[in-house]
Amino acid sequence: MTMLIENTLQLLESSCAPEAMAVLDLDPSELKETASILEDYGIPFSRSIKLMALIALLALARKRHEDVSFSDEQLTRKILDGDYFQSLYVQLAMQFDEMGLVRYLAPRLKKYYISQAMGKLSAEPLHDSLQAYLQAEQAAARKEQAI
Amino acid sequence: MKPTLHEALQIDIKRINREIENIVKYDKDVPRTSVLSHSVLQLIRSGGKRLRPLLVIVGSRFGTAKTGSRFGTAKTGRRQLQLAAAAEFIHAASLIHDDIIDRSDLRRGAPSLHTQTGVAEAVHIGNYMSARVVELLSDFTSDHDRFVHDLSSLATAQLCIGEYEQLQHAFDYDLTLKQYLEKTRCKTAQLMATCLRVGALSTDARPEVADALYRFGESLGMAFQIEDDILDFTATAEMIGKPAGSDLRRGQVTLPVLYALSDPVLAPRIRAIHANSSEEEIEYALQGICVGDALARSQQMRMDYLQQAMQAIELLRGHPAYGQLEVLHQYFGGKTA
Repeated sequence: MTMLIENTLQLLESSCAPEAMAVLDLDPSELKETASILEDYGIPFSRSIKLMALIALLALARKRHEDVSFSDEQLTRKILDGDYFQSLYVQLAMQFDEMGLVRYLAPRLKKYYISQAMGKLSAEPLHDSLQAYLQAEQAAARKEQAI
Repeated sequence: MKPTLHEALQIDIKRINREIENIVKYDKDVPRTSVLSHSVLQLIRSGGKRLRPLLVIVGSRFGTAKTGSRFGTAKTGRRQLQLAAAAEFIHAASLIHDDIIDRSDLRRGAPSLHTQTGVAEAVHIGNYMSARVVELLSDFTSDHDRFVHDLSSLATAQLCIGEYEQLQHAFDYDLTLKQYLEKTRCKTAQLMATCLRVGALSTDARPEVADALYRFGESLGMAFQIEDDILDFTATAEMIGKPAGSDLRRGQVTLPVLYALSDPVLAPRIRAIHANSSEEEIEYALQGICVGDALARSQQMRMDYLQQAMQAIELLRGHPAYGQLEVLHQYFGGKTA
């Protein structure tokens, strides 16, 4: 698990443009939760790194855009970081051939932003969304095999 | 009376506006009477030149898809309209965040969105718009359609990188011309170029045609931004909706500033400007920049980009839609003149 997390962080560091000077301050417990789901679903190591990096980018984007206000000295930086992580998520998903994930998560992510814009603060954890995607993916694969 | 750009391009702007509004109106997850829906529609209806959607549509006229319009070019279909609308949505989302970053209270002459909703809510409304575009573009599922995601990934990431560069180089009077051009390319030119390219690929344009259109759009975008830089010194506040010299006040080292810095007499005046400079100090530097040759040199650079734009589309000269590119060129080239 530690190796998966380390490899994911390395992948993210090398993927972020140097101009972004990205700080990858991810929540270790969220990373572990994601790693454990990927293991449970038997996702190969190389793919797990990519999926974990994509979920991490979404988590970073959410974190940066949380509770922003004019009194925050880091406001500009936070807005840019959040925007950058969101666009990098789509860019890397294309590169990793994981647009299925983007398609699946798109309505969920949108609903998250709708609820945030309307002042409702509850949100589905991202690792739950990933789990739902992997479940749907494996169900589709089983169905295809059955045919 | 001189025709507007969309009239000159014979593009039905009402159809495009309808499609842009439909992105939020037909989103079943957004309550019709919500602040979110109201805010997005208000922003969209507040105007704007719709340059990016127009670029998508013009690009689409260079395809090989046999839908036969009266131009003898590929016809604008639903798909092209959706992409055009998505391009405007991405642009509008970036404006919401830009206004917060710049602490700008006005957008298109009306109170900017965050002044009405609050900063945190406005940030998430911008996020909603970006996420909605990703959702819509996700419907383009085939490998053949991968290019559509350039709008919500590559071009948007570049936009952020341009903003990062701007942030890092605020009041940096040692900025090089190369750095300035790179920032401008990221911040303005690449989204415009991507719009033309995405439009072209949506109607199965040949790769070399799409690439030529990309280069054309990139050069036009560079000229467009340089013009904006020049206008910051020459236009009145009413014309550009912000006080003259706003860029200099915010520490943005634009092309005229860069050229003025090469004048040994003027350079110390400019280098003295910092975040807390007085109005007199700024006015003194502004006057110096306007009197010297910095604006003329910037204008020359702008003309060079306009020329490069025409060179980029030389191979399209015989295409039935070539005249559309000339119209765009005239529009981008004639505004300041």
